[in-house]
Amino acid sequence: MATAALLLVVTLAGCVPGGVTDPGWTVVAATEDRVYTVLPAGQVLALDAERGEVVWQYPPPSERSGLGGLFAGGNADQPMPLGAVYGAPTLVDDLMIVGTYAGKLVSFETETGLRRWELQVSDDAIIGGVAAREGVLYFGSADHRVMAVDLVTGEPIWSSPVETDNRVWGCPAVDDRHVYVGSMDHNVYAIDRHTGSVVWQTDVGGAVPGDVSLANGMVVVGSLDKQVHALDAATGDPLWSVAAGAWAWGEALVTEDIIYVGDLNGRLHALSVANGAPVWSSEVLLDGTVRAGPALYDGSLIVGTESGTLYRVERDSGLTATLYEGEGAILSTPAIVGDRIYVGTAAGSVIALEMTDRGPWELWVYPPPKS
Amino acid sequence: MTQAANRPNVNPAQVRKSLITWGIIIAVVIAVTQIGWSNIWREVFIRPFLNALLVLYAYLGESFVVAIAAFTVLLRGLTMPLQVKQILMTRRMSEVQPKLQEIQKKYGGDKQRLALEQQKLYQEAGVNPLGGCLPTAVQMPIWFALYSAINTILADTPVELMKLGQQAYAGFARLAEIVPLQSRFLWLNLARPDSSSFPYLLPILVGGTMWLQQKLMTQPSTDPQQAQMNQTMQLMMPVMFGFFTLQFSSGLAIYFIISNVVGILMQLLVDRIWGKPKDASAQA
Repeated sequence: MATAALLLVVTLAGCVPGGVTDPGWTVVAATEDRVYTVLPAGQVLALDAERGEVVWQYPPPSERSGLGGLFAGGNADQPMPLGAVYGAPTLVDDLMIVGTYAGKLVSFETETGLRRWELQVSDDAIIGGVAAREGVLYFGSADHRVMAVDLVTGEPIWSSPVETDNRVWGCPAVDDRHVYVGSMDHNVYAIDRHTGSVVWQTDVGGAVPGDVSLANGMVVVGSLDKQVHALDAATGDPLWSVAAGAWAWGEALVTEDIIYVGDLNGRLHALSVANGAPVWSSEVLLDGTVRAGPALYDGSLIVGTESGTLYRVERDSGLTATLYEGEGAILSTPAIVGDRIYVGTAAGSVIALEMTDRGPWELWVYPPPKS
Repeated sequence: MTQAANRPNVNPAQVRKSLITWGIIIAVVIAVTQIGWSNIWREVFIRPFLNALLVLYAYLGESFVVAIAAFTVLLRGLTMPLQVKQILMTRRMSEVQPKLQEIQKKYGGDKQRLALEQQKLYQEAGVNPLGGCLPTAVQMPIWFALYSAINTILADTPVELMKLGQQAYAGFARLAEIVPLQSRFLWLNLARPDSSSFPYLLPILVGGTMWLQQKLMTQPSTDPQQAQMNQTMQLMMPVMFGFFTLQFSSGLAIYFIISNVVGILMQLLVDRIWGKPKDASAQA
């Protein structure tokens, strides 16, 4: 009995450092010459887009490496990794903004990696990314709130945050007048961008854990009721709903006439913007859960799955080709700049592919494989 | 005549038992190699637990604490025959302690004879020295699976929510209605350790109820070394579980508290039905 209990305690304790059960996954954002990434457990890196070399990193290596780093805990001034991060970094002006599971917003200078500011904006997790518009950052938090803060000062813009009835995990979408965001309370909210007052809210019948997409006067969300919903952006009136067959979580990619969205059973759907009718003649089933939304590349979609496979899917036909197969689950949306695709894995790696006439070319992998 | 005399005595019941045991072993080996240990673990333990908790949550007022309490009582109910067996076995083991000591004194120098006499004593008394371990062995996977199920079901992180989506049975119609589950209970976020200004309440309750349960369950021993070890374990285990409660999700701490309380009630029930154990040291 005693041995068994000891084994249990030690094993369980080993699984839950500080009560957090997972360290997040790798998220990426990219520009022409840099790739910005946050690895699981919160190491922030700027990598050279051409070669994958580290331009800067946070915390700086000198303060974390070696045996000294192992025994150095407890110093409050010492820069620490950000912890779990799930939302892609937002690049705005000369800053990279990251929301963390610990409820912080942290900004880094994109050029140097210097931490410009760090705000404890919530007692709970910030899971989704941060939307930026005209010097204001909009984001949701697991403490049920939607907030807006000034990009420079970090001061709240609204007199009080918008309260929903459950966690807000998705990244908001912002247009000239409104902020649109989904909540786990089954509602999609439209909030006045300047005052923070709720303009409309619509119950879609299931929790909305992911980002909302905005296009053509429509708000599109996937929901845990296994449906994709389209709402009128002006009024919140439901336009149509279509069964996805499984939880639809990742951000929908909305083009002029077609919406692309994945589901947890590994299916990719192409739906008509007009009425939600399927566009492809046959079902596109990928290997593994599709957690994140697809990204657009030259007439095709780039989408990753939990099995670690990155696919290229033709937008018109749904024809599928494998671009990359690795060990780490791909749970975040790839970043695409020109002919380059950058993808982060839950195993803590970033893969850069160059699309050439002869097919995808692996440009680099970070961290580089040990020779 | 000669051939019949040379034929070994075959007990058909024993043969049947051996065949069944080997059959089970072979079936388990085939299942593990063909299906994979992690798939078996998920399908046999985690998914049933997780879905049972979801159903209990959906139909018992959408309170996770009520769901855990009902689940604990159900589990304890299902494993009650084993646990009663363990209690009675421990009690009988305690009762044969004086005789065991006598044998040890008498045959201490002759290990072979000592083992033979011990086996004889166990047979006569109808006890199996390893019998007391079985209920614990059964409880271990339950604890591990429940720990995993609680983390997944409360889905405090996207990875856990994804697991919930993958592991919830497709036919459960009310899933979309109840997800995400309400993880708040009083001041606690059940998916995380208690981060309030007094985070020691749950560890004290876990440790306290565990100590009481162990105190009630531990049989008095005539062996001073054994008695000393029992006493140490009675104190050490609650302290350790209490300490680690600071790290666990408070939902798991709630499970441990309810489980301990049910265990205490069961022990009191056994004492009432079968009477309190005789003090082995007094017998000696």
